Amino acid sequence: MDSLSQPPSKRPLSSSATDFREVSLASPPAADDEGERSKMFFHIVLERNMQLHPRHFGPHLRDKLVSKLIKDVEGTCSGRHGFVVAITGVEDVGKGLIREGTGYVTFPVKYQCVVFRPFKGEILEAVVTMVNKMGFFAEAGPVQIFVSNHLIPDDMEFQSGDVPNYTTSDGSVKIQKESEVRLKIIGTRVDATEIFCIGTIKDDFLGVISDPGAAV
Amino acid sequence: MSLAEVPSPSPSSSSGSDDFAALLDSELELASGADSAFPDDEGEDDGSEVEVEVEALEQNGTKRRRVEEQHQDQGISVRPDKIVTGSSKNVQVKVCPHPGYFNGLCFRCGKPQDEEDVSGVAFGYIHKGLRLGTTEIDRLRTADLKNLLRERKLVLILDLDHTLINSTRIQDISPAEHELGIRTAATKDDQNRSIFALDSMHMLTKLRPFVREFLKEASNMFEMYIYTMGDKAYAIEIAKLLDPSNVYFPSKVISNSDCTQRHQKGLDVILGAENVAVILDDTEYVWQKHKENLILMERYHYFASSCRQFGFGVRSLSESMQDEREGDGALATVLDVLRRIHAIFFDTAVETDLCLRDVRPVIKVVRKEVLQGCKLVFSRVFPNTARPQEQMMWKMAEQLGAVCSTDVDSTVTHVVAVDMGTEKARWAVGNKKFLVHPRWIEAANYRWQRQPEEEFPLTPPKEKIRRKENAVAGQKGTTIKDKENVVAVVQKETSKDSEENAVPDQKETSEDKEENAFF
Repeated sequence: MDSLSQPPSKRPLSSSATDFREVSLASPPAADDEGERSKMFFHIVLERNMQLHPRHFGPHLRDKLVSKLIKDVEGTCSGRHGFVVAITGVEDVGKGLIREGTGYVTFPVKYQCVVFRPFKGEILEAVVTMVNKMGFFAEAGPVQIFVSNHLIPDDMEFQSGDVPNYTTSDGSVKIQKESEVRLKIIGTRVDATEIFCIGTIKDDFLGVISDPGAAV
Repeated sequence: MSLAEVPSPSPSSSSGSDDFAALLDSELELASGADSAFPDDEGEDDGSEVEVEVEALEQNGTKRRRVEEQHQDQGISVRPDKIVTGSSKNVQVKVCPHPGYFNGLCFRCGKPQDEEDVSGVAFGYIHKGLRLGTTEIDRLRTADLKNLLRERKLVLILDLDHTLINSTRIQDISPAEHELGIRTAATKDDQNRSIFALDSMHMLTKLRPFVREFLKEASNMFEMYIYTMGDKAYAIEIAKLLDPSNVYFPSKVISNSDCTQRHQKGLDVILGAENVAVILDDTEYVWQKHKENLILMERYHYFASSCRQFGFGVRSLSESMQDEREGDGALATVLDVLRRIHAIFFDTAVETDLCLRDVRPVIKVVRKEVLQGCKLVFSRVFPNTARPQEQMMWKMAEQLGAVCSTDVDSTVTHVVAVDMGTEKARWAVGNKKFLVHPRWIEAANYRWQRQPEEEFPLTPPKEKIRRKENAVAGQKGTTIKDKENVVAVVQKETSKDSEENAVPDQKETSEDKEENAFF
C-alpha cells in the first residue's frame, strides 16, 4: 500500500485515497456519513492485455510490465468501473503471445486496483469551480459536479459581481469560487473519460465546509 | 478479496469485471432499498423535497427492472409491490419537469436525459455539457431581469469583428503594411498599444480606438456579452485582450459553436430578456429576428486585407498609418447613443413598472431624434415603377424621424437627389432649401447625428449649374471646387479639421469612400 502512487488528479479526493475500506456488501448500508462515503471506493480485480516491446525482454520484464501498467491505467476512467485511482498489486501475468511481424508480446495481466465511482445518495466533498445564476459547478478529483439553483437552499440567493456567489440573507454563509462544499449526489453519469454528477446541498448537514476567504 | 465472498446476484461470477457488475447491481438494490424504506417520513417535508425523492424512487424502480431482466432466474418477492408504490406515488405528485441537463443528467432530479428527446438550448459557452429547457431559460431571464433592473443595467450584446476590433491573418498582411513594421508594433511591449499578435492563431488584431473607454463606460450601464461568428478559441483570445482581468465578460463569450441556427445570431442563447437587450453589430443580416434591438455599427476596417475583402480599393488605415479618432469615432458616437437609451429607459418620470418597459421603442425614439424636424422630398432617387414608400432610403429616413413627401411645398426642408438637373433639385436651389445626396441620410443613420448638409452636395452636371449652386444655394461654398463628391467632402473636412492633427482627415476619407461603396 505504501508504494501506491498518488491519484493523478488535480484536487485531492475528498475521502483520501489511502483510507478506503474494502467493501463488504453483506453489511447493510450504514446510515452515518462515514459509511456512505466509503462506498465510492472499490478494491477490485481487473484484467488488461499489455503489449510490450521486445527490448524489455530480460531480467526485469515483470517490473517493466508493472510500471507500464501503472502508467497506462492509473488516472484513466472507464464507464463501467469508474476512475482508477491506484494499482495495489498484480495478481497474475498470463502467458505472453508474440505478435507476428512486430515482435511485440501481449500479456494478459490481472491486477488489483482501487477505483473511485460515486453513486447516487452518497456524500462528497468538492471544490467549487464556477458560480453563476444557474447554480454552481464543483470538482472532486476527476468528478465534475453541478448543483443547480433548484437544489440550493431557497434562502441562499445569487449575487452577481466580480466574485459571483450564493449567500444567505444574513450573509453568514457564502458559496463562491474555491469554496469547499459537502454535497449529496443525486445522479451520476460515467463517460469513457469523465464522471459527471448532479449534486444537491438542499439537505441537513450539507453546504459550505470552508470558504476561501477564511482559510488562510 | 472481499468481493469474492459477497453473495452476488449473478451465480457465474468468475472474472473481476463480472464481480464488479454484480456489485453495481447489488449497490443499486441496496440504494433503492434504502430510498424506499422511508418514503413516508419524507412525505412530511416541503413539497419540492417530495418531488425529488419520488423521482429518485422512480428511477430506482426502472433501474431495478433492468437488473431484473438481466437476472430473471432470481425471484425476489418484495420487488413488484415496491415498484407499484413508486409509480402510484408518481401519479399523485407532479413529475420533475426536467428544467435542464448537465452532460445528459437532469440537474433537478439527477435522472438521465431521454436520448430521443433532446430538447432545450445548449449553453456550451457557460459550461461544457450544459443544456437548458425553454421554461428554465424563461425563469432565469425573469429572475435575472429583476436583479439587472435593480442595478439599473440593461443587456448589451457586442460583435467583435469590424465592431470592436479588426483582425487579419498574418499571411494576408500587405507589403505596405509589412514595410511599416506592423508586426513589430504588435509584439512591442507597450501598455497602451492597440495592436496585438495572436501567435497561436497566426493573426494580428487591432482594437478599435476608444474601445477600452467604451467598455469601461458601458459596463456601468449594461451587462455585456460578446457574440461573434468567429470560432471559440478566437473569441476567447480576443475577450482576453479586451478584458484582461475578466470582469466584463465572465462566461459571456458566445461564438459560432453556440449558435442555434446556421449563419444567424439569436438572443435565444442569451440569458437576458429581449426587452432589455441592445445589440451592437456591423451586420444586420445575422439578426433577422431581432432587428429592433440592433444598433448597426459602421464597419471598422483597419487592415488592408479587411478592405480588400469588402471590395474597397482604397489604402487601408494601416497602410496610411492612420486610425479613427478617439473622441468622435464610431464607438464614442455609439456610446452617446447608448447613454441616451439608458437614460430614457430608466427615466424616473415615467410611471410604468421597470419590468414592463421595453428598450426597443426607446431605440426607435432615440433614432427618431436624429432627423427630427426635417421634411424630405426625393428626386429621381427611386426607380419610377417602384412605390417610394417601400424604398429602403425612404424607410430609413422615416426611422430617423424625418417626414418624407412625394411633392414639394413650402414646408419641405431637404431635397434628396443624385442629379442636379431634376425639377425638384432646381426648385430646392431656387427656394434655398438644402439639396443633399442620399448619402447624407446614410451617414446620419450610422452616426446617429444629423450631418452638416454642405458636406453632401450633388455632383454638378454642368459648369453653369455648379456655379449657380455655389452662389444661390446659400452654402458656404468656398471649398467646394472639385467635381468629385468624395474629394469635396474631404476638402470640407480638411478645412474644418485643419487645427487638429492630420490623422482624422484621412479617416474621413476612407469612411466616405466606404459609404460610397455601399451604393
